[in-house]
Amino acid sequence: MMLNVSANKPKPLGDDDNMIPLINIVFLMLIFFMVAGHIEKTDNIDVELPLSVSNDEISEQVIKLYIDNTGQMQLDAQPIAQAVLTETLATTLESSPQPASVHLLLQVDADFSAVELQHILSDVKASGIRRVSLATLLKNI
Amino acid sequence: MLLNLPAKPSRKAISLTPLIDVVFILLLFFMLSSSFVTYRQLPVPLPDASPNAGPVLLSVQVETGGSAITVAGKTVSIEQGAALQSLVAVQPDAVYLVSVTDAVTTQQLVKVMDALTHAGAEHVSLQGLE
Repeated sequence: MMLNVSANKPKPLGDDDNMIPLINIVFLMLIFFMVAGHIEKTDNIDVELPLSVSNDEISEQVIKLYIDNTGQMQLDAQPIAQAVLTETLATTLESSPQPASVHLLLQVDADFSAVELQHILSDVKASGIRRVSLATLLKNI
Repeated sequence: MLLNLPAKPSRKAISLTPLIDVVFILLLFFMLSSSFVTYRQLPVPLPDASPNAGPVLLSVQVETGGSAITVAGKTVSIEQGAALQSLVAVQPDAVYLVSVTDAVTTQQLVKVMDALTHAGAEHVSLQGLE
């Protein structure tokens, strides 16, 4: 039996022409990820946000308070104890040029106890901040 | 007069391989670091508690499990949209202050607040703890 070995002859190397479609695709993917995705600082606290149908966009200028399911808190990437929360927020509010527009965004874990959240909200209220919202993930209905 | 001009250098085709390497690294970086999650916010107004002047305050008690709420003595399931709507329709402009028990999680609380807003309540907030 004879084998037709000529079909397996390797193509000449170093020919970049057949790479061009590949580069086109890679470029398109690159542009897609650059435009459609957004890069943000990773949170070093593990928070699984609650789902909600609320569709309010988050404004740019917010103070972020992270609370994980064990109750550990971080205010703008700095760990903070609940005992000093009111004081710290009041200082932030005082040093702000527009105290009325200070907006606190609570990134609370979905499994966090709601009673504990109420305690934290009381502390927030005592600091004088009035604009507070909960960060949620948009639930697709 | 003859000038001895240097011959034009022949243009060599640039190899594409280093370019592709760089583009691949950029692609990997953007693929791994970009996020497509849409964060939204649920406003939690913190009204000044002044019982004399101001809107009507209605206390909403979330039952354990988070699927039912008690408003002014009536217990309604949050899944029953019509029942909740008729309950809210009595006083849509009142402030609905949600209060919770120990077993309720933040997710269940958010669900109740969503249901109240969906039923037509204009102001939904959380009961402060003293």
